[in-house]
Amino acid sequence: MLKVETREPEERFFEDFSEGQELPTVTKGPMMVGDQVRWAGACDNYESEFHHDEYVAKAQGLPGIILSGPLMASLLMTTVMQWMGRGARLVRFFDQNRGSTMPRDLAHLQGRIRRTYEEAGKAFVELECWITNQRGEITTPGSALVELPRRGR
Amino acid sequence: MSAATGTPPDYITPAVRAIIGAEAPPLEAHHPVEASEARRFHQALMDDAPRYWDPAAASRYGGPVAPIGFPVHAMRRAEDEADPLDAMQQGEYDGVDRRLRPGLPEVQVPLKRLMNGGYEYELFRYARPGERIRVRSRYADIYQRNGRTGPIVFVVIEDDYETEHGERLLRSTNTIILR
Repeated sequence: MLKVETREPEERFFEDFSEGQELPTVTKGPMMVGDQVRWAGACDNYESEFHHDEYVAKAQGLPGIILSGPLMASLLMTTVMQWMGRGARLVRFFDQNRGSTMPRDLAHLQGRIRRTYEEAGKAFVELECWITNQRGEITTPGSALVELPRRGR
Repeated sequence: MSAATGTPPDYITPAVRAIIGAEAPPLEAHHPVEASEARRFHQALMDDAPRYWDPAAASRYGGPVAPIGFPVHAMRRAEDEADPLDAMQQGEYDGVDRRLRPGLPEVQVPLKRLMNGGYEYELFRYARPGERIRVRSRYADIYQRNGRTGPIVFVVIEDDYETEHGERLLRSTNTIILR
């Protein structure tokens, strides 16, 4: 049986990040109806027909099936955790469902460090994160605040 | 826009204003967090970090954990609870469920498109398999903006997730948009 390599994110420290630093883009997709179905199953939530029935989606004025906003936000939050490393503690996360992700769309998850600072003996990194599709449209802008360990402490 | 006056209707009626601040009774998840439920969730997120199943990798958390955003999606239908899909078969159902959380009153606004605007999460700690999650929900605000396409009503919902022992897990501020 084929196996995927599973591992915790790399170890990262406060000192590894600086203001303006670009984070490595993570690309998911092309997204599939299967991604949405798997998410609906994981949440036991089947109540929005437009997430799995194209006929209903179009009748409601949508261009077709759209993937769940919370799924896209959760993918972005997962990517933030991977960028920030295994010792990171996510303190706050914000996302806005600005545009739709549809089946066959790509999702490029991107980020940039906005600010690094220390407060009350703790070290924090604030970052902007967002998802763009293959047309370069930002579908999901967001931000996060993360507490990080200091190197050698 | 109303043709007679040219002013958009005000959907924030006294009845709508009266439910701002309404709180739902605490709602406890139907069952404690299950390991397989956490597995389905991390697989849906394409997040293969072993902290979700491997005790060695999860030692810094005191054992395997569910993904950090899991509590928001942990309230499930009980065996004897009505099938929510049945509600969609009712003749008067217009496709929008305006009861935005169990235990909170309907937001009675005659707008037909409901969208999830997004979330702000404040995160305290991971939930662990075996813990039972509880949520307290309230309508923090309901307000109207008039856009180019007509009135838009924003419903801001605060959900506080905690364990059955009252330990905080996550606070979510969710904006629902009706237009």
